Amino acid sequence: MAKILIIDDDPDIVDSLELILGANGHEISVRADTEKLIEHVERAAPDLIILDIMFPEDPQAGFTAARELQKTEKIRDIPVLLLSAVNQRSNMSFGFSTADISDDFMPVEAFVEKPVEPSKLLAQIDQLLGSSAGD
Amino acid sequence: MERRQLDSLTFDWGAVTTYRPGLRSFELVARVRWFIKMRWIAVAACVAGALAASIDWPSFALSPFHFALDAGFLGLTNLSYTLLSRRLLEREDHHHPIHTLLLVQMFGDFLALGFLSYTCGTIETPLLTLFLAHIILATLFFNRGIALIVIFGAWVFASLPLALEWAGWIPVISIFDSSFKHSVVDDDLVTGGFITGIGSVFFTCWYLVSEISSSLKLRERQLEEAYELLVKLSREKTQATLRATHELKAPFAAIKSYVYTLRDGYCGPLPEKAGKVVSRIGDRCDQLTEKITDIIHLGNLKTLVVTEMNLVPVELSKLLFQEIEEGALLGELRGTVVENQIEGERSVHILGSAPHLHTMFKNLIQNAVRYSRDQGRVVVSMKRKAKRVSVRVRDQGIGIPQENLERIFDEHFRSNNAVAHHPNGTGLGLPLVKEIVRLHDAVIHVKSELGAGTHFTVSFETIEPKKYGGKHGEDPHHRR
Repeated sequence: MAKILIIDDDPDIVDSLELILGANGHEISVRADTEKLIEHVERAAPDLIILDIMFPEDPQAGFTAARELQKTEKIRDIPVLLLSAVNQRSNMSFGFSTADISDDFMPVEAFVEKPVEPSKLLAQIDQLLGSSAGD
Repeated sequence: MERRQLDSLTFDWGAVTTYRPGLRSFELVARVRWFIKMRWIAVAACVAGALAASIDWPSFALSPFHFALDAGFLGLTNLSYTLLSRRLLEREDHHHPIHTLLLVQMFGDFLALGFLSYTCGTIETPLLTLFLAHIILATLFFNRGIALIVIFGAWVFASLPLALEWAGWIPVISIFDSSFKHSVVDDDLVTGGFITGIGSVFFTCWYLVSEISSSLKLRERQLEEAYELLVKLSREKTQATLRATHELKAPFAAIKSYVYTLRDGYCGPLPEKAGKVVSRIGDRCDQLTEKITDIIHLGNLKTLVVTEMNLVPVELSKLLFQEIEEGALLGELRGTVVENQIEGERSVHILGSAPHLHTMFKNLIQNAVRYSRDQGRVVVSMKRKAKRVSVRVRDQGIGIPQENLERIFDEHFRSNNAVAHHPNGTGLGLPLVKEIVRLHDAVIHVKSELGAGTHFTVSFETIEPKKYGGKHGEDPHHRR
């Protein structure tokens, strides 16, 4: 099973994710902010990162973190799953969707909307871990 | 518009944050092009003049050689200006080089005009007035100092032939072979008067235009400041709405996540009754989330004006297909058929915002499904007539009481039969539709018969997408 790093400031979302992922045999570590993220990721060497977009200190911290991860040679291959409650349906002017994934804007492997159905989340994670292992 | 510039800390993909080159820069490029075009006309006129001059006219004498020389000079310089301006316009920051090019062109033109004026008898033809076009342009685009140098240059080149003729350094040319020209250059005072007159006209023109230009520049600066303020406010509004959306939705997302974990047994098996309660909590959570989303949508839309919309060519049928498909999925759950009758109307384009249009048709189609009875039928059709296109969503559902028809676009209004049929509606779907109709300058009609069904028809003005240059049927800012 995989080592998964969850970066989210909402303890309840983290808790429910831990319940779901833990029950499926994954090893979970958690961070509530994106400070010194690169060092942490280099140290923890997770197989997958689940990243929130909006943090109290910065509404775009998730994007910034994703771009920093993408820029760092040693960890750029770790798949990132972006998780947000603000999606395209929730706001037409500045929502996000899978279609927004791109190297310069949203350099992540997948985007899912909060709350996510456990079965969909697990399928998405399996897919990312599978394609990551195949690289 | 390029929206993916997220190096700043703002969500800046609103319509009003588009970078627009200054109006002055735009005008400058347009004038450079205009002058190049006019110069080709001048070259053609000089060639025609050379041909005309080769004929032996009884009343005036022109030199074909002088005209040909001028045509050659203007043609060659204009060719170099054309090539140079094309190369300069490819550069991102082309304002200053184009500015310099315009200055060079002006002095080149002064030389050609001065020479042409001399060969045409200087004061015997109105060619000197052609200097005025350059003077006005220089005063508009250059600062007062440089404009003054240009005007002085124009005066020198316009007066030089007459002054040199007066001084006897060049032969006096009179195309009409009249004694008037000779009497002018023979008389110091009259020659001086003509040269001073030319200067007076040029400098008066410079003064008047520069006064108007200064006032316009001030207004332009004020407009730019107002525009920047609008952009700032728009960004702040966007960020505030984003925060509000997040703050309101995040707790429900967390609750729903717990509901999922309970429902799927991640916290141990649930007794049947508890499972039902958890399921109800989840449903109410969804309803609240939907309501919050609609409130925020509506709040956003109500603050928008048409000019803030980033309208692009949208292929209506393509967009409708997606919404019909989604409506059909909902229909399957409720035993209602959603029929697509827009097959024959492909390639109809309107100017619109795809995400907003999706919301509009999603609401209309899904409403039609929700308020249909079992085994109901919803038909979506499209009709093009002249320069308009109408999209109609018809259902055979519960209908709207006549006395309520006027109120269906009011916020939170729901007719009694609608509440009885579908208790969990937000009452915000049609107000959203109304705002989107307003922002697209569209028209919506509703026709309903209680117990028999409702027809919503939205009509838009069609466009030719080629004129707008964008990708057809795709909003580049909101791909789906």
